[in-house]
Amino acid sequence: MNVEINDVTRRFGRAQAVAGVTLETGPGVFGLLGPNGAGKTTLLRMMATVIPPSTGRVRLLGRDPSGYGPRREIRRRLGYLPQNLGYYPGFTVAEFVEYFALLKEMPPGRVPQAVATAIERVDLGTRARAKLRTLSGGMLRRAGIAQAIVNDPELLLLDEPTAGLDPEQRVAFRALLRDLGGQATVIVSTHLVEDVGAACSEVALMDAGKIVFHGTPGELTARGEGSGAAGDAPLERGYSAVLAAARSATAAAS
Amino acid sequence: MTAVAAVSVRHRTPRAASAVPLNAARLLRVELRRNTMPWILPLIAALFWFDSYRPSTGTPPLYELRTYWNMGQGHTILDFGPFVAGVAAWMGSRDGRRGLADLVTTTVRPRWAAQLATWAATAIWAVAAYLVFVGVMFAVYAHQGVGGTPPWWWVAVGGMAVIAFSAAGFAIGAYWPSRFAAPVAAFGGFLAMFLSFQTGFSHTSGWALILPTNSSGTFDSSAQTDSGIFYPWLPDLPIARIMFLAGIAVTALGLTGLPARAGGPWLRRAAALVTLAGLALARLARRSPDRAADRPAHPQGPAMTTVGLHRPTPGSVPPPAAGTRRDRAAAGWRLARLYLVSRRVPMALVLLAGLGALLWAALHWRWNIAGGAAARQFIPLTIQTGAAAVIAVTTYGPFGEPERAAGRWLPWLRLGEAMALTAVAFGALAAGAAAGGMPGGSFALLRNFGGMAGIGLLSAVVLGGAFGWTGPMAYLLITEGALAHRSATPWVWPTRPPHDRGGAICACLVLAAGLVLITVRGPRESSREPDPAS
Repeated sequence: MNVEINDVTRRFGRAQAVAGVTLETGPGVFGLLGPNGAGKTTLLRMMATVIPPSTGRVRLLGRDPSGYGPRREIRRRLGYLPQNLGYYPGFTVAEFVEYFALLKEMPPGRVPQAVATAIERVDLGTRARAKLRTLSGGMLRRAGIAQAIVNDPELLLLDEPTAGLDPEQRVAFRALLRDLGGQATVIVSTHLVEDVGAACSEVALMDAGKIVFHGTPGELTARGEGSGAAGDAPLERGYSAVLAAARSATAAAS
Repeated sequence: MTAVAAVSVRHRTPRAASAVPLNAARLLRVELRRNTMPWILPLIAALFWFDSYRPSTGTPPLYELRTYWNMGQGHTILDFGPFVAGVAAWMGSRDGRRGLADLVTTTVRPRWAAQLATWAATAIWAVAAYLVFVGVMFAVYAHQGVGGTPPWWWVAVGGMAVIAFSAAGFAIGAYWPSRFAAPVAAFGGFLAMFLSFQTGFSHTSGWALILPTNSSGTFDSSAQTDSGIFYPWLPDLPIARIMFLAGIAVTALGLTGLPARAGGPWLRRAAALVTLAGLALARLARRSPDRAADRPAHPQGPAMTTVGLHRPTPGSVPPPAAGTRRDRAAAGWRLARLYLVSRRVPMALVLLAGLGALLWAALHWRWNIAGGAAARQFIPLTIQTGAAAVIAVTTYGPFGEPERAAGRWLPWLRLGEAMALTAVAFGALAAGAAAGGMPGGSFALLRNFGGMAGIGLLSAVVLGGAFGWTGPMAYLLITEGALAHRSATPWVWPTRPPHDRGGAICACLVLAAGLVLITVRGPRESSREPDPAS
């Protein structure tokens, strides 16, 4: 298992963002769905070794990220695209991706080719020398994806990766996800259920800091059949049905 | 057609006349609640107590004597002005840093109006704090039974000076949305005030007289001759100074309305008129004290006592190479270069070179403050502190979490950058000191600047890189007070002789602590979205 999360919580002051999540996943594309404020980004940040859990145990790529040495090993094999990408507008696309390749301690001889390949994979080859300040929002997002995949990560964490991408790019990105999921564990946090349906082999649905569903997209679709839940697509109806059931169970318990 | 004709046309509901001021008030309320100024007020309060109130307690219980240092010599303005200018620059650069300019430009309300609301909130916080701090000080004096009348005219001058600093700083930030805008506004304002002291000693009328921190002309020297201590407060000079400061404030605010994005042509013409009116007001102020020239001349006012990537076509991409030593060195150099560029180090180098040149000019043309050997240190110290502030604000980067989650090199890059910039800054300042006459010589320069750089790095760790300049600025004000009152604890090392061991040890300890903490912890990062353009 590349990701083993056992009863993890995370608090920010009095607010509990993640409230006892247990999750295990291996290679493949894993979709993390949920409404705004469900705790998806916090869970992803813990997996990215940016913040530690308040309680519980996290193991990534067979290592405990709380120790300096194991964390360094994890970070060499990690790709991370946050929801809000920071960038220096004076960098070119190539410099931006190269900077992260070098920070991730890739072998120096491999860096130029890895950078070129990553930029090609997100279809920015013709804009490799363009300054980031000249790119559109969708292109910036693709540059962010390129920096995340430049080191061929074994664990790739993507927070809202398709936000701002045009339909053609989204279709291409789903294909890229499926390709990456062949060897690595790819965890995608998103609001867009069609991305999950098209690219993910496994899906978890979070609400109020907890995982309320864990299964395949097909199983999620089945939960919506005959439920009368709102939604334009079968997967959306499954999403709505699971959320409604979880919330009514919470209301009944309290 | 019939259906269209049958639909009644809905006219836009006319906006109530009261909606505009109400919306403006709401906008101001939002800006007041989300302003950076309140966060800096505790630091200003501490400095105000240390630099303005504390020195006055040793004087006899008369307002004229108690307020001689803090009001008559403008120290309350010194404690507020630089910080207000720096924070106002930070607020003024907000739209540019956060990429909000387009968003604000496309709203119905002109961008200039929105900017003025941001400035007004900043100025309201600053002026309110100034009045509260001075009011509390006077209340304490009253409780202590201090006799006489508070110098209300100088309170008005101080309040207007705070407004002028906020407007000038805001204009700098609006035109230059960079991480360096705040320290440049703060240290520029501070240096301008100190140079005005000297100007005030050389010239005791006209422009020099109306500079707010010039103590020449603050008191009626004929009365001083008669009574020795009972100085009447003169209303004409404060009025001229208020006009002068108001002129600066109006000019600065008018300048922010000149760019094409500020609003429509009429609004921009109005901004141009406001700018001209501000200049006229400032110029008019010069005449007022001249017209009151029947006042006895004061040739020597009360002394201010201190101082390529190519697209990979098949066959063109080199095959993966094993990491030879040369490859590793090249990759390390490349990483360091990209890291330094992302921290705006090239601009920092330009500023450091400029500070070296400024030090050379200050020493060559003897920009000294009257008041003896200690006072002569002050302008060089201000320039050194500015260099430390430049180093402090280069510590933070734009990338946020992906950078923190990528490998182990970041701490070493931070250490390397801090050490390299400290060395470069020392070199630039030493070159500037070659003009001769550097108080204390090279050893004092090394000690004073090294310690200041350490304070800047510590500030970046505690407050964040963007506010790293506030620590050196606060330390400079403490040093200024210590030099004036000849207190010489080793922790205020610039007050100690050049070869004093205690001062050198303290400066080294602070620099070492700054380097260790910036390496291990890095500058404090806020959880919000990183600034792409700063």
